[in-house]
Amino acid sequence: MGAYRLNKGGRINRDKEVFFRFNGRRLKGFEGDTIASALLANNVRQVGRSFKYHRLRGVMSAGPEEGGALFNVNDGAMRIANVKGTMAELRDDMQVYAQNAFPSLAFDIGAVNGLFAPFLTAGFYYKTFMGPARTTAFWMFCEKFIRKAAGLGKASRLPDPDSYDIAYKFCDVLVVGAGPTGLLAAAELAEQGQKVVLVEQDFEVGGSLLSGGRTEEFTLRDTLLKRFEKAGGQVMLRATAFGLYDGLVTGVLERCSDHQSAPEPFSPREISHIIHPQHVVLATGACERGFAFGNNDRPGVMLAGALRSYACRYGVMAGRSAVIATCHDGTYDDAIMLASLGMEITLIDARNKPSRYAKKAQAAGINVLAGKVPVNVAGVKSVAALEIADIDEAGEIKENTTIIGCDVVGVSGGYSPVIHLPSHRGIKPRWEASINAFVAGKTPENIHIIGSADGIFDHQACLDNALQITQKIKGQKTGVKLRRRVPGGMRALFEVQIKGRKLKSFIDPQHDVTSEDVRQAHREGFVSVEHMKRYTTLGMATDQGRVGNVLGLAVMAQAQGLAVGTTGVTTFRPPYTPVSIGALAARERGRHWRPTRRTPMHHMHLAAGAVMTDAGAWKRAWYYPRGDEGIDEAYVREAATTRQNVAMVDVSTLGKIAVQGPDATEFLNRLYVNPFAKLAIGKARYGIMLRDDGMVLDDGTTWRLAEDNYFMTTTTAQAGPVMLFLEELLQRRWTDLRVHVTSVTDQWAGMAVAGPYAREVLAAEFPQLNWSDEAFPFMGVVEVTHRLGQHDITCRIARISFSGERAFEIYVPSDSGAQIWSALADRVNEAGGCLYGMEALGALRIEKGHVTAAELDGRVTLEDAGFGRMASKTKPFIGSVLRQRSSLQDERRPQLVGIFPKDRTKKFSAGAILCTPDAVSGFGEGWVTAVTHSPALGHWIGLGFVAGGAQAWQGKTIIVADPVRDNFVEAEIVSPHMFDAKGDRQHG
Amino acid sequence: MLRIECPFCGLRNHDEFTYLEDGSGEMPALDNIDGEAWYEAVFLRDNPRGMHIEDWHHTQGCRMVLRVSRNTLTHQILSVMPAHPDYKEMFSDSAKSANSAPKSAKAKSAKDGRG
Amino acid sequence: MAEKLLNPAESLARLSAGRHGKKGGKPGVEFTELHGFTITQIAFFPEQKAAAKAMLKRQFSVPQMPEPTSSCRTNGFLCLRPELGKLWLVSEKPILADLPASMNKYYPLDISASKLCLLVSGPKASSLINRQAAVDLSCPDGQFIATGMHHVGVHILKISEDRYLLMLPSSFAESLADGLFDIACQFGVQISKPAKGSIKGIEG
Repeated sequence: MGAYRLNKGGRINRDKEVFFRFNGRRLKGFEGDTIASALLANNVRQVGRSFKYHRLRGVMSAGPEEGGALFNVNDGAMRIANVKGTMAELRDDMQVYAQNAFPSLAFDIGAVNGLFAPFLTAGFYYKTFMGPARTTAFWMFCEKFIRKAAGLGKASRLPDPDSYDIAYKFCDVLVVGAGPTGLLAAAELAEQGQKVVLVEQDFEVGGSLLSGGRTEEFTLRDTLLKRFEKAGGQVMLRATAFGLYDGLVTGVLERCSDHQSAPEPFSPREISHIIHPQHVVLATGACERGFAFGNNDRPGVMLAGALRSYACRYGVMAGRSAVIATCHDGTYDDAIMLASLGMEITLIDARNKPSRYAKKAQAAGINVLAGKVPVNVAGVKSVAALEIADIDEAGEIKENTTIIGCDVVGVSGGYSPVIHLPSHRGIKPRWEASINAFVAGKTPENIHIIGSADGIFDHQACLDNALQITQKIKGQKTGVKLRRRVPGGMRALFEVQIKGRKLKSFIDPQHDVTSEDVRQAHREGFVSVEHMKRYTTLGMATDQGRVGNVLGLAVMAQAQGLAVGTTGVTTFRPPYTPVSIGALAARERGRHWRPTRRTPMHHMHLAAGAVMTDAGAWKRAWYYPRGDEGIDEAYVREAATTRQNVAMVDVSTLGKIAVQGPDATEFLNRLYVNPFAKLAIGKARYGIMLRDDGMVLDDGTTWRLAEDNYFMTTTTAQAGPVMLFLEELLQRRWTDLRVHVTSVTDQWAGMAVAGPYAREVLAAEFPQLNWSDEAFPFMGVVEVTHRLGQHDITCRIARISFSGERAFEIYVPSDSGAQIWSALADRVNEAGGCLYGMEALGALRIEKGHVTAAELDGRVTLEDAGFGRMASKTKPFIGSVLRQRSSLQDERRPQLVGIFPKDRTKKFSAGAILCTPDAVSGFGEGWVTAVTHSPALGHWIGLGFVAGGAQAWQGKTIIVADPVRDNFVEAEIVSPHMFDAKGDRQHG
Repeated sequence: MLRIECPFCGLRNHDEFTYLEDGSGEMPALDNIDGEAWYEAVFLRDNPRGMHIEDWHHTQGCRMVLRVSRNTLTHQILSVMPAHPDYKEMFSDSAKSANSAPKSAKAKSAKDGRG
Repeated sequence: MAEKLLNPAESLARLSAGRHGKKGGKPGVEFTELHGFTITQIAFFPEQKAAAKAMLKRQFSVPQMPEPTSSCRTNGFLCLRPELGKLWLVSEKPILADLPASMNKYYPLDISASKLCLLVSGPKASSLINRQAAVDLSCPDGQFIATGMHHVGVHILKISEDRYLLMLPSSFAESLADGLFDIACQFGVQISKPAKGSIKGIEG
């Protein structure tokens, strides 16, 4: 008894043997086998244990609806969980492991769960772990054991060593499914001149033509494929359309190398294709379903069509002696084919009137019994016999049963059109009584569902449908509407219950959901289909309800006394089958997780030994350690050098925008809070701009280069948002202003030279300029052509200070940045100065109380930041009205302050909350935005905001509270300008 | 993936764009001191079920601000136009005035400009 | 994190010249950095469009204003239209200094240093670009497309079926080229030495 390989037949390549291991045991298969077909060929009937009850499971189907043959495949970092054995191609040296069984498949400790079955019904977790007496701690204790006892596969915890790609594709028509209907439609469309992409999840095109077992079907497949390719069509194999999205954009996952023993190096393991078609043709076929009866999950119970697939496509007989249970004519052809290959078959038909194929079946040696249904499977490790009962015209099932010995049971309750993709588009399925299945509703979008995916099961009708659709896409009127019907009629059969016997009948074998679970859910008040699904977990495993949904709905409808199909359905959402996270991330991992932005002097910083840090997408020099300096020594030295001598920093990351046009002045004047109308040519001005709601948006310095030509700088962080805001203002609101704005951030390299000797250093490099205070006042700008080597370089120099020292900013076209930087670095070093990085820059600006995006975080007004007096009282500007709303005038609003620890040896961090000593809790009175160990003052200082500002806290103690780091420091509030408050150093 | 037909660039995926906001209203003129008017324009929005006029910016593209009418239920986009009233004419190749000088708004005060 | 040094003139210097990735057969993609182009932006307002068109012909011999997403050529100039009211003139020599005052109303702006010009060619060039850019490359030759790659705004000029000029923002150029290189390895990629950009070299 048992499953075995036929001597001939099937599409496997018998010339190519493939050796693999299942649970360590070496087995043989052939090229063209799946894991499931190879296991069956080796008479491996038990392939795993179920999720909850740990019952033994066997192969149940031959497609993505598989609920039993789920495996862990590969070792180490390449291990994949929940691989569907029915879809996975066999390859040399494949390591395959059963899931959810410890210590072994045969002897599984977890099987004891079966004893607790009465308690492990629907809603087990909710009932056991929720309630007043149960605590989170109790759940966390139990969770560890439950996690071990229940579950599917085991994923690898090692980093994924493979690479993945995303690829964008464009075509006229996307055809999903390369069965006969899809193949014909694709060939016709391609011959029409359309650009057609045909995707097929299987590793061969053909669909149902592959498992028919008839030469003419194989020939039809070959012919259609040839036509399609000859007409320029593109086939994608091993490619599953996993999601259908807005605009008809379709996600297709292509599995490139899992089937290869030696994948191409550098090739991605999987590619997510994002396909943009004008039309989508769905020829996704229909999925056979079974029906529920006693112990229908035992190894050896399979879909009837799957028995045929294994025989005709893979040359494997799933058993020697079968009982096949059905309720429609389609199964007769399956049975006749199987009988011709040597299977001993009893065919039981739930319909009382004999099928028109009954005689033909009998002639083939099949024992045909009408008016009979399966009741219970005998056998635990695998099918040993099937108990059947009589069913009458009214549907009543008689109590006396007969037992038929067999080693395999085939079941067919009908076919469910695969309509997941239309469901992704919100197209609601509707019940089509003539076929006892759901079909997709109508849609105005260019989505065409054809063939058995639309409930058309007659072969010729499917082909006619394909031709129809090609006409429709061409824009021509189509012909007659095709009828949906199951040829020969069918009896609606979803569950077999026999009076007086409590049997476990499975609706969703993957999640161990029984028909009784559905009834229990109903009894407990979960009557909505959405609740029933989540309460029972029906349809939530990797088969996504392909086999079980309709059965569950039927049981639910019966419990509610409603007709099947009136209960509503849950919504299928992407992905149709599981998609690797890697395929969604593609290349955005590791150093390409996001794009990196480098300044023109990046390599020079590295050459100078800088340690780099991130500022958004930018890399910036953090500090330039000398010798074995750590960060603390380095930045203190850099800051001190800046204050005492001369130092240079790379400021290329600042946003830079060219503002040009006859209305440029008017534009800037409306934008900034302070007056800009009279800014002289050759001068720069610090400006602040608000949002319409009165909050500070950004600050920067804008230079007037000519009457109608300005050079605006922004903070690094806000460069993009400010640019967008300017474009928005010019295109949406001030459409009569004639201004061009262009981002020139990358056009200019920027460097600041600061310190008492900055002028001397620059004068040495640019002797052609007059560097006196009169010629070059604070906020003055000059343009100069500078000869360096063979080149004349345009330089823009402004006397601006962010560090608080006398400083100049030099901008040059970025392709000369490195040369100018190099020349200036030499001069700076000759003068005994140094380069400085972000840490030192931060220390200097914090000491001075100069704000950055850390302070101007979008919640802060001009007054909060101490800039109230900057706002013009005579001109309107963006935000000028709403900044005056009463809630923003409250004196108790948090305002910019400096913070000193009372005990000068203590330290605190940015992000800490400022609280009154008697209320160290909640949101406190303010927060710390930035800290540094001040080189000038010799202790830790902070900038931040506190309710009422410095004046409200004079003489009072505040607590800098950091409960996360368990650090609480007494502090005093001071003016934010903690060093050189008068600004003598930069103006002098 | 919303497909937005930019008048300049053609049909593109929505991730090239930045969603700005409701495009059906108007900001008060900049010198309008009525706080209520500003409050309504800046903070209050309708949330229609169905057709919505909204502005998008083609950030990874031609940088144009587009006025889009989109159905908030079905995501169907019914129309896409430049938000700037004078941009439409820049598409047609009609030889208008040979005026090479820009039509500056300098002479006008802030009063006349929209918000 | 230790990083390798870069040669300033060659952003792709981290990627050494020669064949990389998949071996055997012709490389599917070739990268060549083109340097030395001058890119000058001129801009016009709606009411200036007709005059701008005439100016292009008169000043630069560019026969017509490029249509949206298109480009035009003439001797020594490639004229691109990245935005409705902006034009980029790509030339082999600087032009700003020699422009007459009458051009001032078009606010000429030198943006040469803001772009890195990367020539991507070979039978797999379009497949490679479509790994990061969601635009249909089965468009006519000469199409000039503003789009995004890896969340960064870039411009793509289709020279021919297997030749594309990518104009990448210079601050992102190394990161973007690096990413493209990693993907290109599956096709076999040839990194050529950087070359002086010529208008003839980017003609279809």
